[in-house]
Amino acid sequence: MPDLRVRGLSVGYGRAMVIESLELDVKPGELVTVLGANGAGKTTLLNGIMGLCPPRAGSVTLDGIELAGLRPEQLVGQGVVLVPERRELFGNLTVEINLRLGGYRTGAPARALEKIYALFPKLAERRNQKAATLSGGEQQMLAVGRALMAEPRLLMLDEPSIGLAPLIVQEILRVIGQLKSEGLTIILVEQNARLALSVADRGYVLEVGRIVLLGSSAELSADPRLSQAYLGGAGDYAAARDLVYVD
Amino acid sequence: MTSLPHVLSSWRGPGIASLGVVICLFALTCATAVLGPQYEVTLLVTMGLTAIAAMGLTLLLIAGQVSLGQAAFMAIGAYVAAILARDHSLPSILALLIAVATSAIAGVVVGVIALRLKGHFLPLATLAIGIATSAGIVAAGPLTGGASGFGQIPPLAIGPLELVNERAFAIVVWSILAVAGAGFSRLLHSRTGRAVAALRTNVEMAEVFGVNAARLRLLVFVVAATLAGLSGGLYAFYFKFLSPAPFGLTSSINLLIACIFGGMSHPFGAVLGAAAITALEMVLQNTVARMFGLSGHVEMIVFGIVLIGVLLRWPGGIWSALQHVWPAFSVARPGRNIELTPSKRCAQGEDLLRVTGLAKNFGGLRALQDVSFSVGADQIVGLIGPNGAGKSTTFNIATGLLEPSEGSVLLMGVPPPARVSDLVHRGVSRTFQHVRIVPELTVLENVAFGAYAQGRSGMISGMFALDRSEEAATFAKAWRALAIVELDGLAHEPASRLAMGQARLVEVARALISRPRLLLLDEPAAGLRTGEKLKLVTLLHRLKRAGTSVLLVEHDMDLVMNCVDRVVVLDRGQGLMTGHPDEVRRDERVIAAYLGA
Amino acid sequence: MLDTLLFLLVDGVTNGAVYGLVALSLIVIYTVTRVVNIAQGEYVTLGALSFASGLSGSFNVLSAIVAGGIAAFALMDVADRRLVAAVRIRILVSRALWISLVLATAWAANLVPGSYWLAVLASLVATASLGTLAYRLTVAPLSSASPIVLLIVSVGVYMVFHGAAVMIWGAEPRSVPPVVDGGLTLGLVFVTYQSLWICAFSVVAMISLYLFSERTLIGQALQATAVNRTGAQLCGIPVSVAGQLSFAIGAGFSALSGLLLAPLITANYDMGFPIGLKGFVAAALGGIVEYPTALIGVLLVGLSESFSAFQVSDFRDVAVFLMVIPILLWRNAVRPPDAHEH
Repeated sequence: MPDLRVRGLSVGYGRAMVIESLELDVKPGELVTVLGANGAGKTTLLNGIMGLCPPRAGSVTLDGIELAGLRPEQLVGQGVVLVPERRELFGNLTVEINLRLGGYRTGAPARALEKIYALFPKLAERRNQKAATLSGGEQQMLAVGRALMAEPRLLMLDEPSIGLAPLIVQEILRVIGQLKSEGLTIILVEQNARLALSVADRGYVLEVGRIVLLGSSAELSADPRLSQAYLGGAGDYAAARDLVYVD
Repeated sequence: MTSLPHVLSSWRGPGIASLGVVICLFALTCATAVLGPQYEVTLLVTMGLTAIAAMGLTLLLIAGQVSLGQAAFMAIGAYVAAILARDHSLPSILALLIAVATSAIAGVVVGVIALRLKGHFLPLATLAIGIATSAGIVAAGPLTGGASGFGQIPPLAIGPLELVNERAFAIVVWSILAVAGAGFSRLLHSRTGRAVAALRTNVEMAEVFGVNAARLRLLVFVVAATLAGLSGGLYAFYFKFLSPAPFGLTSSINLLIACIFGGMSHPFGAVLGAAAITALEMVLQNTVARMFGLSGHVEMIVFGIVLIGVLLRWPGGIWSALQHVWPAFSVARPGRNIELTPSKRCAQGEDLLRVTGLAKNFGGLRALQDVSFSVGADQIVGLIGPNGAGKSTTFNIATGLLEPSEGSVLLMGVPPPARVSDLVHRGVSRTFQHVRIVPELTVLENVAFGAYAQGRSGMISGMFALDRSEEAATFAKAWRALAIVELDGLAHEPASRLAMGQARLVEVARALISRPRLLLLDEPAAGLRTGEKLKLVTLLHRLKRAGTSVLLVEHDMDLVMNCVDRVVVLDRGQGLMTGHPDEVRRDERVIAAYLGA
Repeated sequence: MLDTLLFLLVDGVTNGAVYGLVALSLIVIYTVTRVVNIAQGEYVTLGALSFASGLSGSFNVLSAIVAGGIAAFALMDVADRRLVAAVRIRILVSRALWISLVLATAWAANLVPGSYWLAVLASLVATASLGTLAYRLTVAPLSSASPIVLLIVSVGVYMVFHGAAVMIWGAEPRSVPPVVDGGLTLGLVFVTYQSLWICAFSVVAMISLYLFSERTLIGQALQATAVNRTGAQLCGIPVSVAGQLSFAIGAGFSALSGLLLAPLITANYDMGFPIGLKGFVAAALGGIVEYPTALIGVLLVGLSESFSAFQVSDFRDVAVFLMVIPILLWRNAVRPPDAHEH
């Protein structure tokens, strides 16, 4: 059962620490979301766990096995898979090859491939098209599909809804919900707090590299500190429009 | 107002401490030239000449071009100077000047041909030119002395003053180097320097803001060729003997090694690199060979090991290792505030952008079909649709980056300019779907880029600090724009550190500073949280009130519907409908294709 | 007249085939690691010289050095404290097998002087292994550096290899026998068997490399590493192994071309650089990332060289390199390479 514990994690680039002494837990089968503004460190957190940016200090354990310091390839072998913000697809290779490569560690059985095509019918239609020719939403689906080919125990998603049409976002959300109901443990990093809290069990809010708020999704949705910045509604836009800017 | 603290605070460059280091090093060099033993003087001259040629190559590398044929331009400078001075009895100083001019012209010829070649073809072409020149010198025996060499070159002289004293020559070479180094160092922080830095990774973006990329690339190439020619000419007058050997492929590669070893991000890196490899060669020849009594091949091995070792530890070269000693470059914040209004208000009722019957095919793929809409004065228009509907393609056609297969585009009543770099002069600016930021520059410098078209200072002004007032104005505007998007706290950070959403806001700031009448924003809100999106909406409405129209591609429906005056919906390359946000929101086709429940 | 033409044609195609193997090596290495390997010619030299050693039955220094290098890296890898015992044992066993392969082939060649195929095997194993060591030492630590830095580091590797070649084997060229002596007459022209072997090897190498990259998962994983390193890591592809594999293939192919060519021009420490240079020109003309079109580049270089050598004029070298420019301009107009290359 994938039990993730992050303790005292510090990750940075060059001399600057982006996140410091972070503590985080993910229980088996949970969907935990990490919210926060730009530059708060959400992507750095995922990159640190995944080994793309080696942590300076702290530990990340999965069922007691230390992950910090391992290379990303080795983490995939442990069942930890990341769908990065920029998707990192192989643009000039076909959809099918992208998916097969996702299953590199597991031997890419045909059965797994069919399962992904069932989950994302649009990918099946385009299986022989080059990944770069897909639309943004289809590319996101391909990125998620490729990650699933590795048969993860823990799936991490970095802002899957960025730049996607509302219809597609709903589709992705549906898939995430389905995966959760099948028992997959998921970490979801999102800007769109409303979206994330609608599927998550628990959440953390990151600000300038530190956790400032945590709780169940119900608690967070109701928290007044969160609502202004993250959960603003349509009425706020109208107000913003008419704001007379004083210099 | 010109008290010392004021001057110091507005100083732009690596800082006073580092300037002090440079002056000390220069003084040390002069002292060695005057007092040191003979062989050290020759060493200094060799270092200096290599550094002059390497500096030009560094500038080329910063602009993203790799040349494997710089030694060819050195050869041209050397042989033209020598032949004119010895066989045609021209005064040597005149011969030198003509030689430098010849290298420059050769640079233009080669540059015009070779710079059309993208990617790895350019290094190959310069490699070929280099080898061909070398072989040509050998083949043109009667003129150049061929492989046996060309000797008895008269000394460099201005009128009756002959530069025979080798120590004086060394000082002359290093003085030239100091001036060039200071000039290029200053250049990197000027308008032209920013444009050159952008050439490496962001050519399209640079053109949108008015940079004539082809011309600038050629200019940099010619400057590199000229410096190489100068180095060659001086070489001829110092050593008074020429042969093709020091101007072959090995020398070109040595120059490249010097640049990378020293650090290719800064002209001083070229000096460090040239000094380091010359010194290293000498040390190896004298000590290693003598100590072990072995042949020259041990030196080669040791040289290779040192080269690999240093670069493994400091991939940015020696310069990057020294960098933390130098205080960061910073620009002081100006006192007064500036409003950023469009440069020209257009007539009432004039359409800023009118697209009619637009169609675009990519091979067999119909990306766009019969798309028509317009953006008038003081309007915010939203362009929405599923991914792959053709929104970015429409943007690219509207700004002239792509040719439409059918249909017409009118920007301010006339078709888009043939050259992308003319776009900004029409009062049009845009951001990109995939963020285009120059990672080597700071955030503030990236924003300042937007003012490129409003500036005039070129390479010379940049090098010799003649552009102070223009730069001050540019940076004042940049601060203002950054303040508007509330990222002024990050002004001096390297742009590579920005999160995606922040980078998008920097792009907006950059577009603002070019004072557009029509602003095209490609998904500006992607990656922003709600609070930041609200500020973006406020900003867009301020712009509208100030006379800038906006065409906006976005997926956040709350933002679009509550912000824009009209919505254009695209689906699968075709216009689905155009109308007021409330109409569009309720339309069944739009809901089915795009909005969902 | 016609027989001269045919002779030059055969000569040009043979030369082209040799450059082709080197061009392939450069392409494999470049596409996976983004390194423009200036040291490529040295693998040609080292392959030829260690082959000569193996044939004459003398001790193969290269194999010993390579074995030492593998051992050193093995110790370094095993010393990683985070590994479990099972993984450490696996590493030790695999490296031990590798070392024994290198030493065994060298020893076998030593034991039976004059045995052609044993010497070939020893040389190929040693040189290919050397390639992986060069990758681990000089490329893997620089994975985030720009391609131009990687290029200069490869110049450093060239210097080390070149100097070492002289130190180990001396400056005297060594003669080496061809695969099979003699040849056959095709119509008007006499073609040596060696030429046929060279062409055959090149064609087989190109086809198998093409099939490998396009049809096998490992080959596609290699391609993927070249296209997007981070993406490959996230798929669990061991990118470091991909780099080592590409260097092994590149070094091996170059060594092969060296020992095929050595009978024609003798094995000496200086043979590598001009071949590497022409291989580079051929690869770049062909597009440096596409195997099939590299064939065209290779043939162009080979043919132009043999035809212009026939002219025997002072401007021979100039002509060959000046031809490059119009070819590049034409190629650029027809199909420009991606802007992000280089």
